[in-house]
This record gives sequence, C-alpha cells and structure tokens, in this order.
Amino acid sequence: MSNSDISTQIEETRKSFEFDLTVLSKDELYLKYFSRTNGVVTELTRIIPNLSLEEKKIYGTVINQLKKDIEDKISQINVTEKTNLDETIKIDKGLQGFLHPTTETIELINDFFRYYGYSVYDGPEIETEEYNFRKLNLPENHPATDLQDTLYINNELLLRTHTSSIETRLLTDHKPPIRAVIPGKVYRNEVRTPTNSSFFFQYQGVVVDKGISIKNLVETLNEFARYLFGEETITRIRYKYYPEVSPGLGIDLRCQFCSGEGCHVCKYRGFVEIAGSGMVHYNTLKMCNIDPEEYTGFAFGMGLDRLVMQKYKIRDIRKLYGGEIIYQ
Amino acid sequence: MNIPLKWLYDYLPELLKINKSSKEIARSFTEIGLMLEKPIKNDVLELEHRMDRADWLSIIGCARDLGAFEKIPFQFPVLKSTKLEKSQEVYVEIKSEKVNRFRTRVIKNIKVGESPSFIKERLIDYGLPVINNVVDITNFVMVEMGQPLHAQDLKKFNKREIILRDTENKDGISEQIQTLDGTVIKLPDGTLVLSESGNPVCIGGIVGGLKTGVTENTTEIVLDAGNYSQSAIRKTSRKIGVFNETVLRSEKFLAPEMVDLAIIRATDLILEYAGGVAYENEDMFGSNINISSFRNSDQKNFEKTPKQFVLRKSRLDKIAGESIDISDACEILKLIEYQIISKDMEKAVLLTPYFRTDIEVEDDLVADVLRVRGYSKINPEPIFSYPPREITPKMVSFTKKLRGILLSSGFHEHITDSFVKYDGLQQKGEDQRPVSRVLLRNSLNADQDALRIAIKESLSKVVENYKKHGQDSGKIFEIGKVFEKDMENGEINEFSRLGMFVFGSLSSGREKNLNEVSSNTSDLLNYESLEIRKALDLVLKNLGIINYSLIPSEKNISICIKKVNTNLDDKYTTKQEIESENNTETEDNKGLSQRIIGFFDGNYAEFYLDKILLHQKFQSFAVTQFDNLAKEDLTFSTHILTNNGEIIEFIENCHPLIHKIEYLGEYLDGFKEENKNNQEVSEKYFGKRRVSIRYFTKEASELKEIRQTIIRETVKKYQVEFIL
Repeated sequence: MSNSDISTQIEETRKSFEFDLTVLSKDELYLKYFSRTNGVVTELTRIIPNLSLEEKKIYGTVINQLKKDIEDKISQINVTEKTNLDETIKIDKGLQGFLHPTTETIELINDFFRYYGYSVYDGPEIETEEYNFRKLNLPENHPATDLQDTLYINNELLLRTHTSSIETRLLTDHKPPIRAVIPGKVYRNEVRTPTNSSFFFQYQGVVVDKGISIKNLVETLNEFARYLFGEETITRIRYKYYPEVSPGLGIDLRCQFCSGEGCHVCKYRGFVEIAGSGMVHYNTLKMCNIDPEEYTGFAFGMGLDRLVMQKYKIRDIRKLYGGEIIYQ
Repeated sequence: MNIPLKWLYDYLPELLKINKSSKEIARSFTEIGLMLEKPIKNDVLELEHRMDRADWLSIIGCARDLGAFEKIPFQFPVLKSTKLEKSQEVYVEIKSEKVNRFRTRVIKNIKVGESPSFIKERLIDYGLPVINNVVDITNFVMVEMGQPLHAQDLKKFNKREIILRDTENKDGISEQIQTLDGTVIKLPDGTLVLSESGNPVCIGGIVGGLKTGVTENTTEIVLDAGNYSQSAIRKTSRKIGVFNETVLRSEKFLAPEMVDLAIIRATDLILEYAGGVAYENEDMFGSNINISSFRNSDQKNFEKTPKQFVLRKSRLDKIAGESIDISDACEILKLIEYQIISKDMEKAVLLTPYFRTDIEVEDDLVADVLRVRGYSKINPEPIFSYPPREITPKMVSFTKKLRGILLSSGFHEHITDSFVKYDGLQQKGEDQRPVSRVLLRNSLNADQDALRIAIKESLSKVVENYKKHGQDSGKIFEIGKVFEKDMENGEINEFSRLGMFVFGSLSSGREKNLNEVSSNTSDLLNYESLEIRKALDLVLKNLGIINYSLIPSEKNISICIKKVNTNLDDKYTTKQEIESENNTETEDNKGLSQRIIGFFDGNYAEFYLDKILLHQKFQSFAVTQFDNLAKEDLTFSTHILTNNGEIIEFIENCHPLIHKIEYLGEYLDGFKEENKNNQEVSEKYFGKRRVSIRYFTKEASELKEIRQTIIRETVKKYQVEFIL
C-alpha cells in the first residue's frame, strides 16, 4: 500500500465516520469501526507493523489519533438520546376512557381480596339507626351517634356514616361462613374543607367462620399492606378501640418518606395509619343472629380518600368529588 | 390527652430509673391503645383518646396501664381526708334527672394565694392556665384523676343552697349565666344548672359562673364533684358552644366512684396548700342511680361493687388463636386492677376495676390480656378454612360490566356529590309515582341540605368544569345512587343509576354533518343528541337489550323495554321491583307492559340500573352443535328517530324459521331529498341499521323465501329501505 493510499484511507475513514455518526447507533458504530475481524479502524491499525520506521512515525501517529478520536466520539453518545420514537405523532386520546381514581383504587384492592375468596358486597346508602348504630354495639347515647356527626333524614332514617352498616346487613342476611369486602360511599355532617368532605369512601372487610382468631386478622392486614405498598413494607399493630369490635386493632405503615423517624407526611408519628380493625364484637354477632360461641370473626375498615389523594397527588378532597378533575 | 412526662413519673418513679426515652414511652403508649398524635414537644406526649376509656382522660389512668405494660410498679397518691366531720353548711337538692351523683364538701378559713411550684409546673406543661391555689388544685385533680371538680366562694351565695335543676324559659326569656371568663351565655331550655336563690351559678359539668368564682379574697368554699348524664352534657356543650377540659371528661362515661377520689384528693391538697378546716357536706345520688350498687361513701376504701365476669380459657384461646394459661392471663389482669375471685385451669372469676365503665363482655377481658401482654406478640397466621360461597350481589358485577363498556367507548368516569340545595322539586319518580326531593334534617351546609333526584343534577357541573378548562368536548359518566321521597306514602327510596353526558364535537369528520343538521332540525337531531343516542344504543346493545323503544314524555324521552318475567334472588332489589311491577303502567305506556329503564334529554342519558338488571342474564349457553343453522346480515335504512327495537322485534316475528336476531349497530347517514310534487327541498336523516339473523335452516330456497318475507313485511309496516 502506497503512502497516498494510506492518507486517502485515513481521510475517508474520518469522513465516513462523521456520516455514520448521524445514522448508526452506538453499538453499530463500535461494530463497524472496531470489530476485531473487519473493523475499519482495526484494519488501519493492522497496516502499522508493516510500515518502515519513517512511515511508522508519520502514519502511526495519525492512525492512532484517528482511533482515539473515533473512540471518544462513540463513547460520548448517550444511548437514550437516540430513539426511533417519533414524539410528534398525535395519539387519539379519546379512544379509551378512564376510571375515577377512587374506583380504580377500589378495583385494585378488590383484586387482592377476590383472590382470597372474598365476595364484594353492597347495600343501601340510606340506613336505619338499627343497622348503622345499634347492631354495631353503639348504644343510643354514644358520642358517634350524635346529631352533629350523622346526617338524618327523619327520626328513623339517616345517611350511612360508615360501611359497617352494610357489614351488619350482611351478617344479618347471610349465614356463616362469610368472607366479604364492602367498598362504598359514606356520609358525615361536616363542613367541607380541603381535607374533609361531607361524603367520602370507605373500604370494609369482614370474615366470620369457625376458628377465626386475631392472628388471622393480623396476617390478612399484613399481606394486604404488602400487596398495596410493596414487599418491603413494615407494619405496626396496636390496640385501638372501636365499639363494634373487641379486641380492637389498628395497623400502621412505617412512613416511607422518613423510615419511621418522623416527618410532616406522617405528622411526626413515624407511621401512617392504614386501617382500623378488630374481632367482630360478641354483641354484634348476637344481634345479627349469629352464635358468637360457635363463630368468631374479624372486620376491618379504612378510608379510601387519603389513599387516593396520595396516589394521584390530589390535595383537595373537594376536587376529587366535586367534578374538579378532568381527564386529559 | 396531654401527658407531661414529669407528671407521669410521679406515679411511675421507676420509669425514670429505667431511663426510657420519651420516644420509647410514646411507642409503648401507642401499642396499648394511646397512640402518639403529635410530635413530642418539651417532654409532653399528646396521645389520641378514643372515647371508650374515660379513665384514660387522667394522668393516673394512663400511668396505670403503662406501668402494667412495662411491668413497673404504679403508685397511687396517698389519700388522707377520707373521713371528715359532717356539717351541713349548704343545702343541696337534686331536681334534674341528668344528675347521677353530686358530692360536696365545705372548707373554711382558707387562704387563697399562689400555687406551689410542682402544681404550677405540671399545669403549664399540660396546657392549663395558672390562676390561684384553689382553682389550680381543682384543675390539677381533674387532670390527675379524670374527674372534674368545682370550687365556689360560699360567701358570695345569698342563700347557702345548691339546687341542681334544668333551666326553664320564663315568659319567653331564657335564663342566662356569666361564666368565669366573663362571657354571658343564654341557656337553652333544659340545661342542667347549679343554682342558688333561683339563679344559675354554674352550668353542671361544663363551666362555672363568675358570680361565685373563687378569688384572692375568698375564705370559705364549697367544693363539688358531680357525675352527670354524659349525653346531656355533650348536647348542651354543643348547643352553647363551650368545649373545655371539664366537658371533655363530663361527656364520657365517668364512673360515679371517681367523685370520691377526686374530692378527697382535692381536699387534701387544699388543706395542705391553702390551709383551713374541711367538712363533709352532702353526697347525693340522682334518681337514675341504683344506690344499692354503691357501698356507703364513708367506706374504708373507695371501691364500689364492680361487674363480675368469668374468663374462660376456651374463649381466650379462641380469640387469641393460641393457648394462653388462665394463671398468666390473671397475672396480667391483676396489673390493671382486676380482682381475682377464683380461678382454675379452665376459667377465672374476676371483678372489673371500678373505673372501667367500658367493659361489656368477656371478650373485653381477652382484649385487656392481649393488649397488656403486647400486640407485637401476636404471630400472624393465615386463614386455613375454605373460602365460602360467593355472595357478590348482581348489581356489583353489573356495574363493573357497565364501566368496562363505557370505558371502551371513550367515556371517563366521575364521582360527584349526592348533595344539592333543597328546592321543593316534585316529579314523577323512577317507579312512575309522584315523588319529591329528600330533605336532610340537620345539614351543616345550607347549600347542600337535600339529596339529588337524578345523577344529571351533579354530573352537569363536571361538564361545566371541562369547558372551564378549555376542554370543549368529552364523554363522561357516573354510576351512583339517587334518592326520592314517595309523596303518597312518605317512603324514602334510593335507586342505582348511570348518567352519561356527551358534549362538544368529538369526531372532526362529523363536524360538517353536525352543522348541517343542527341548523334546521329539532334539538333531538343535533349532533350531541345523535351521539348520546348512539351511546345509549351501544350500552343497551352491549347489555343484550335491543328491543327498546323511545317514548316522548313532558320533560324528556323515556327509554322503555318490554317487561320480562324474572327470578329475583337479589334481596336488595326485591322490594323496589315488586313496587315497580305494580306501578309502571301509566297514561303514556298503558297496556304496553313496558318498563321505563331511563330517559334521555338533549346530550344526556340516565339509566335505571335496578330495572335494567332485571333483564340481565348472567348465565351463558354453551353451544355444542354448529350444524343446521345459517346466518346472514341485513342492512336497512330508516329515519333516525324510528325505534330500532320495535323494527327488530318485528323482523324476529316475521317468520317461524328465524332463530335469533342480533343488532349490530347504527350508522348515521343524512341526505337531502327532492319532493317531486312541489319541487321543495326537504331534509331527511337516515340511520343505516345492520342486523345479523340466524335461521333454523340452511336450505337456499327457504332462506330466499324468509328473506323476501322479512323485506316485504318490514317495508310495508315501517317504510324502511333494505340495502342489499
């Protein structure tokens, strides 16, 4: 090979690389220029040992410089920048509708419980005091039955204040064994604020069977927390009073923002409450005509709205249900 | 409930010795049921109170349980002035049923001044103001023991009497009181007050009056501790808008026995820090209290006859899901002041502590055992029994199916408020009976004092919102409840509904068509109406309902289907359905045996889901043979407002060899037609409808004959045009 041939080859290589740089991917460039068998630069470097000492001094330096330049340029290519995706193509957004974030969350949770054989139950939103309070072991003068908290329609009827009212209907209408979850809209007599609404959504669950213990409740809630928040989730259980259960139990999730150290998200508690629960009260079972000596059960309930607001980053509950969200 | 750690250590001195940090103490409190509510500041824990444990509204109550949990001794304060000379200085009479117990003592020759530093420090840490030694001591004892107390300057009384009575409206004028902070409160009728010389001097269980308040000149006081009807206190405090530390406690189920502990402890402290001589005055019980259930208040100790329970090992094991020895359980319960009467391997007989007004059943004892043992010791275990039979109501699966249909058609779901402003609306209800709007009795929001009668009322706001955000077109839906009050029998009913809006022009190809259409025709024929027609058609078609008809009514157009016999096994809808069966016949659809399943109006459609559900088949038929059946599609063109269902049903009955007819869809097709007689141009808007027909035959000659019959008869009856 003559000296002019070598010079031409070096120049052509440089030119062809400049072009290839605009059309080939990083891997393709490496393959074309540095392949051990037939890479363009590899072939050029193979010439060097056959050159005279004088030629080596001239062309060896030039070839090595070329090799270095090409290597540098290839290594600088950011793979993610080069893509075949044409972002200017318009997608027709009108083809598929979206579920409301609350429904989507309900369906997500339903999937978990359906897997474990739970039915999805529902019932009336207008309730009687009997199902909303009495059968839940809430006596007439209990603070929770206050006129201020409950929206009454007349002396007998009210808007359900919790999905537990459906639990008592379920326990009254069906014989054990029972396994069911109850998502639903509930109402409270509250002035509307960014975090409080006069209606919101709850998710209730109930299991009544022979041999159900508090251990089963803890396992169910732990599994559920892992399903919803991930395998690494750390939970905490504690005693918590609810009139319709005894023993009562609260389950909290270790704050994922501060790892339990305390921050504004968890209100410096280190944990965020997920659900309230407990063993179905002896009196509740009795009032629903289930023999509490033969059957035991557990129930749990949680507010869905905070979960939804957190998941979808909605700060104002009024926007969630006031028609203030739009899908784009 | 605020717990200053300094105050807590008074009853749990070992807690200080074992050197637990405030965070660790808060963690223990949380596990036993007193969750830390706010960040710890200045060694004060703010714990959540859950309304059950009245004794947890005291430092002593919280300390007792924490001591048991941490297995460290709990020290109750030494009570000295248990027995005093009786001197009936003040006449007391109970005239109200709201009083359970009222105990008074008189202390003379006291010196009002500054409180000792240990009281001042604790009250400030807790968050109460420091006033003078007597008032501070009553506050201190209230927080320490959980029982509100009240001291009054006896020399400010006109008559030495305290009458506990309910206020009465005299000649239209309410009684009133000026409270310690100077506020004048008009007392609603029936408010429990302590009065003297006919005038209220204190609102029982809520707040004291200025007139008899203790000041630095006071030398003689009457000290009282009362136990009142907690619900009456709660109602009064809400009515007059007074919420304070006294109300917080008086509105809970306080044990009447706590009166003794508090008044004795307060007497001890007043004698020690303000001097004077104390006398027993009166200890009276209200008519609602069974005195025999209390021991004499001059007893040796302060326990009253508590409730007796049997704790069975079998029950304990059943709830706990593991074997726990009765003796271990008794040891735990003893720590929180249960008394063991007897015990063996299988059961224990126990007396509950007097302060535990929350205990109702044996399971509450189990709860105490598990709680004090520590919930962290509960080992999770899966449920081993088989899943029970499915009881999901049909409505749940049905609405899920509906959502799927709507989503795939580009509809977005919304959930809106069920509340509206009351407007006295009356109309024909879902069951075609006269109904009115449901009014709420006690709504706090004046613009939300009634319930929606149609989904449209709240969903229409979402359309406005879309437009406000510059999104002029969209398809939205909501599945929810509506409420009606039957005007004849006053019954309140609720129904499940689907509401759908289509607004704006969604498909650019159709815009031209829309403009042409809307300029010259009725509202029904504008673009949005056609789109909603298509949408409701699609929903019904997907639900297997093809033979529906549209009947115009005063306000809108009713969507009707023929009634079918159904086997109702959904208890939830049975009652409504029976009623609707009896009442669906109206002037509009008389004799047609039609069921109204919804309405549409402009660009909106609403479906009565309880009614549609009756037409839903949830079982499919498996086909095992594919022979002897022929199938073909037919397309016909007809005016857009003609009822598909009617025509399809007609076709189905044209020939006995027609097995099944399936409606495939509708395609809008508008064109202008010349009227040959007067040369005027009229517009007609046609929809091409395609149906698929299955026959009970494959014979070509028979098929030809059937097809000819269909075309001949249908064209004759409906003036349709078949496109072959």
